[in-house]
Formats: sequence, structure tokens, C-alpha cells
Amino acid sequence: MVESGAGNGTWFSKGTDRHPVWHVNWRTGELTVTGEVPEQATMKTVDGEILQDNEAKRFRADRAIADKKSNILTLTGHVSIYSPKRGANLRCDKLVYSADEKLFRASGNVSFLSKNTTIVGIPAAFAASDFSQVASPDMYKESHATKP
Amino acid sequence: MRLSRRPDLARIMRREAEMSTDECAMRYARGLAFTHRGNTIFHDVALFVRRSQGSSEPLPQPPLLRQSAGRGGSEGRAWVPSQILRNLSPNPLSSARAQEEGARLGCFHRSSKVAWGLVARALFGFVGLVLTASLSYASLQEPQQPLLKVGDAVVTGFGKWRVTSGANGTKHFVILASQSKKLHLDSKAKGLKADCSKAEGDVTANNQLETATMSGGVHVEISRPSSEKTSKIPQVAVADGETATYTEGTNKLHVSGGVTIHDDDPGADRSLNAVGTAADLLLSPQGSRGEALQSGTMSGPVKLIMKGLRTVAAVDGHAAAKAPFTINSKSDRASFDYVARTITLTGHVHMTSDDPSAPESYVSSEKIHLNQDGSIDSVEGEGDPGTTTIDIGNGGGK
Repeated sequence: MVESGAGNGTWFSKGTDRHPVWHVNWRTGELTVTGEVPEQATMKTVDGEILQDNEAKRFRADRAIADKKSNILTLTGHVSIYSPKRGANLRCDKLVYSADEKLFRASGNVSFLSKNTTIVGIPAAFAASDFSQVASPDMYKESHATKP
Repeated sequence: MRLSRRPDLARIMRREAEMSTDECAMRYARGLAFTHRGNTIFHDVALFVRRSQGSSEPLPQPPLLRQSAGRGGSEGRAWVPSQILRNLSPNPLSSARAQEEGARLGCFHRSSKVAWGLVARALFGFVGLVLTASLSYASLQEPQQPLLKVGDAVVTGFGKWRVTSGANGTKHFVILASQSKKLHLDSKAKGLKADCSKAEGDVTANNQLETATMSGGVHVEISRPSSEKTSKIPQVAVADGETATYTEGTNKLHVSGGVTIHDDDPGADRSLNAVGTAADLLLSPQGSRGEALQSGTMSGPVKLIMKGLRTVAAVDGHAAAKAPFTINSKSDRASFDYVARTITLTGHVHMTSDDPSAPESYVSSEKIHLNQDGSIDSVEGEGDPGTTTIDIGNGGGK
């Protein structure tokens, strides 16, 4: 495990069609390195981009955990993610982004603000990674999400 | 000197800085702070290296880590802390093991006094952090009331919901009430409120509620300024039914399933109540002073009660005055049009009234003509088989 000061990193997808999935800037962090690959990274005071379908959604949070094996980025504390394409902003206490499922799982004081939709004070919500759908967890339409 | 415990880092540093193994070890001990077996031992090492050299100069610039995206799927840059003490663990390695590790690097001179001083500083820092966090938590604002705004409609009392984006920035929504409660929709822009169990509809890209289909004990309220200009009491039309669909383009509301309509304008002292099985209602534009329900058609059987004021003509030196009137009717269908100022009853019509203009009648259809103030102007009745027409004209109370 390597403790790190300010830094940044870009994580790539698995498989043959490798492309960047997210980029994180951090103030301090701990990286679990296997060989030369950080398998898991725990970072504090983070911002960065979720990269998908030629769109970079900007995010910031108090903490982030990036897990390479599961392709999951977990953001906690004052999480905010913004889609310039949709003009939409998702805020919550915790956000779990699954790059494979192309899905955001938001929990704790969730709000979603876009041009013609505002949702505030929600305990939990799921959102498609392109923000084409946002719903309460039990109403999220799996068919709407793109399966890996 | 070898860095056998962290060969990966040593390799990275050697490749990056192209330094000798000894130089690498020194930098490693000075600049990198990492956890080994759950302990941050190399913080101490770095500190003692500096002290043993008797130097007060800042620690050297930390090395850069860079990993190739091609080799493992990740790339990154990481600067280690320039201020090593910042990352000091409050639970350092035991002194014996720390000394052993330091000796392995050839640069560790143990001093338990200094080490425990650092631990104390770290603990004070930790307590301060906890206090700061507690104060920050206490200052957090209260949780917000759940609220969903779709277009110009604000929705509260919901449980499950889904909003999907359509083409050109439109949105489609499905909202369900939370358990044993009703959804409440409020569109101030349209002067429209509704309570129901489920709402589904569309929002335009320019933030307008385009359609809304509500179901499960629907109660819709439409409010407009009173038709009486001097009155500040708004007129309110209420429609109850099992389902209701509002369409913004036509400004129409379709209600079905045990429909009750109540259109009340207290400022003008007139009202219309109707009970049927379905209704198509045309709403007046928001802000207009016409009737809240501009027109409507109800299928039934329909029961209709209309109340208003009629003018009693001056008689024997008494000035003209306003007197209340009530019309009660039953029919197969009923329609009203406040622009044309008519109420039309069709099919098995039975009408009673305390207004002399509208005597009791059994007819197949009846048309009531209203004056601008809502009083009855005339009543036309058509009897079965449609050959008789009764036109009371301007008789009665005028």
C-alpha cells in the first residue's frame, strides 16, 4: 500500500477494447499496488471526470475509492456530479458508479437538478450513467440501462 | 542496500529518477510514506534521517510515480507528501521493529522520546479533527422535504418515481404516492392542483407540463381570479374521479369514473355542481377572469345543480334587487359553455327551478341561455318526439 499526496490517475476499462472510464484528482490517497498497477485506491478531496460515450461528467467529493477489479468508483461526502451535455447535476452523500453497468447508485440526501426536472430530499436514487433515466431504486428500468 | 520489501516501488523509482540503489533508498526513506503491515514506519525513519544529519532544510522533493497504461490498465501520477508529519500514524511500529526496519535501510537512529512526542502530536491532531468534524456535522442543514418538480408542476407525497429523458430534451415521468398517502401536484403556472395515487406524463423541453394522467382517486382543483372584478376571492373548480388526464396543448381535462364537478365562484355568488360518469372540461387560461371551467361535457346520467343570482325587477316603488336561484336537473348528458353562455341538457331531462324563467319540465333536451352575470336569460325545451319547443323568453323575474 502506498500513501500518496496530491495526485491524479486515469482508470481504463478491462478487455480488448480499452478506454478510459474515469479520471481522478486527489489531495491525498492510499494506493494498493500490485506489480505496477493500483488495484484499489482510496483518495481524499477528489474531483475528476466520469468518461463515457464521448462525454465527461465532472465530479467532486470528499473521498473516493476506485476499485479496478470491479470497475467501481465509490464517491462519498458532498458528492456532486455534473453532466454538461444534459445540464444535469446529481448530488448526494454517497455515489457508487459501476462502469460495467453504466449505472449510478446514489444514496443519502439525494438531489437531481436538470433543465426541466428537480428532485430533492430523496433517500436513494439510481441514474443511468448518461442521465437518460433517474429513478427510485425500485422503479429503475433495467432495460433502459445499457448492459455490459 | 536493498529494498526487498517494496521491490515494485524501488523499481519505479529507479526507472524514473535513474538513481543509484543507495540514493533510491535514501529518498525512499525520506520522501515516501507508506504503510507496512498496517504501520507507517517510514515516517519515523525519514524524520530521524533528517535529524541524524543535523539538517533543518526541507525534505527533498518527493519522487514521481508513473505507471504505464499499457502494462496494467492504469496510469497515474502521485506526489508523496512534502510534509511527512502530516501522515504520521498514531499507531507506529513497535520500537524494536522500527529500529530493525530502520537498520535495514541504514539510516535509522532510534529515539523513543522523539517518537512518542510525535505520537502525542498526532493524537492531539486526531482529537482536533474529531471535534472539527463534529462541529461541521452539527452545522449541517436539516434534511430537505422530498420534492419532485417536473416542468412547472411540484410534486410531494411521492414514494416510487422514474424520470426518463426523451428526444429534444423532453422528459417522461411516472410517480407513485408513498404508502397510504396521496400524491400532490401543484402547477402554479397553470393554476392547477391535483391529488392522486399515481401520475404519469410528459414535460416539454421548455419546462412546461405537457400531459399528466392521474389515477387512483383523483381530485383536481383549478383556481382562477373571480369573474366579479371587485372580489379578491378566487373561483375554484374541482373535479373528482377515478382517473384524469390533463393536456396542456388544448388546456383540457378529461375525468372519468364517478365524476363530480364543483365550480364555485364565491365572489359572484354562483356555483355549478354536477355528478356523472365522465367529463371533458376545457379550462380557462390561467389568470383569466372567465369561469374556471370554460366549457364542459358530461356523460351520465348527470345530476346538475346550478346556483346564482337573478335580478328582480323594480315593483311598486321597490328598487330592482338580486335574488338567489337554483336549478336542479337530471339528464343523460349535460354540457355547459360559458363563452356561449349556455347549458344544454339532453336525454330524459327533468328540470326544476325556483327561478320563474325556468319552470319544471320533462323534455328530451333543454338549453338554458345565461346572461353575462350568470342569471338565466331564457330556457328552450324540446319535447319528445321533438316537435314541441318551449321558449320562455324574457319572462319571469326580470
